[in-house]
Amino acid sequence: MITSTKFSKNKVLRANEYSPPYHALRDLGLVGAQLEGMDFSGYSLRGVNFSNANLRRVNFTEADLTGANFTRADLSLSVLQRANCTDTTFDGADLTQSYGRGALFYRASMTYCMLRRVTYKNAFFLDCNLEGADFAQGFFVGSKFNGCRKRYMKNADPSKPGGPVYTWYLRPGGGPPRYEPAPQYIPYNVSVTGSLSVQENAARKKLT
Amino acid sequence: MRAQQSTLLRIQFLENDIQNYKADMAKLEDANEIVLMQDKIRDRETRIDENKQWLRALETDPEWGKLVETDGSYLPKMPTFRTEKEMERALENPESWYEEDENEDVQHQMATREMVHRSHNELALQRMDGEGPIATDTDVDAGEA
Repeated sequence: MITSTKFSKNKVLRANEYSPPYHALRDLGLVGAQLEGMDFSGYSLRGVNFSNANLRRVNFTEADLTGANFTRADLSLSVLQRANCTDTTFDGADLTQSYGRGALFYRASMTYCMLRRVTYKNAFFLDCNLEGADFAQGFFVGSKFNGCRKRYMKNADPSKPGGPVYTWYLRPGGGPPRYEPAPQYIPYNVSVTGSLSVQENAARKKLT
Repeated sequence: MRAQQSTLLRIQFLENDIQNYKADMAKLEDANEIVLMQDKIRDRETRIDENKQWLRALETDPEWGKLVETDGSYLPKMPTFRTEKEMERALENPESWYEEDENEDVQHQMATREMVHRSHNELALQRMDGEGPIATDTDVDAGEA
């Protein structure tokens, strides 16, 4: 097991450079590892133990994080865009300001996980354990929360100041969105400006 | 309806507070105390504005801010998939935004809004390229000059 290891970018196997490409980092122990700013996009990181690791600004775009363990890891400013987080553990992890557009959290354990000021548009939380999770100022438009345990959740009320955003209220003729209902404004639970090159959709996959 | 009534009541109480403070302020002579009283009045006015905003939100969506008892604690309603079919389709492509069982009017509004945005975007791009109406008006052809 590798602990407290400082990786350089060259030492980590890139998925597309070696064959077979995946599972190079499968079931690896990276407890307390210093991995700040690493790029794991497209990697298969099944069962990797990232407990207590420093994963600030790490890129997990389209990574397979099935069964990975991020207990008390620092994932602030990380990118979990379209990542597969099935059976992943985020207990006590700090996901502050992370970006997880289109990420899938299935049966993930996220107790007392910090999701402050995150952008998780179209992310799906299915059968997750969100007990005590902090949703302060999170952005969850298009996200769905089916079958989740929500006890002791903090700042999950969108009507309170500092609460998350689940719905946009838009005027049909255009204009900026509102985060609270208003006359003549239509609630949208989905992203409607998909094919446009505005900032919020810059990372969106092109629609077919 | 109950939430609206309580909000109206709160506004009434705050207005009464302001009236009382104004009456008290008329009797005061110390400048510092007058300033403190003015601060209190301003605070109540801000709260009235907030409550009026809340009332406007409640008129549009009566369930805004309503908490539901889940797992022994009161939590807000969070968005969920309504059908299995919707979930399957979303898992296939998380970025798909047309919902099959969505109201037709809403779908139409969404399409209209996208069209408006698209035209704005094209206009902006034209201007950035220097081929738009603003750039052409200001451009002077060197050959003609």
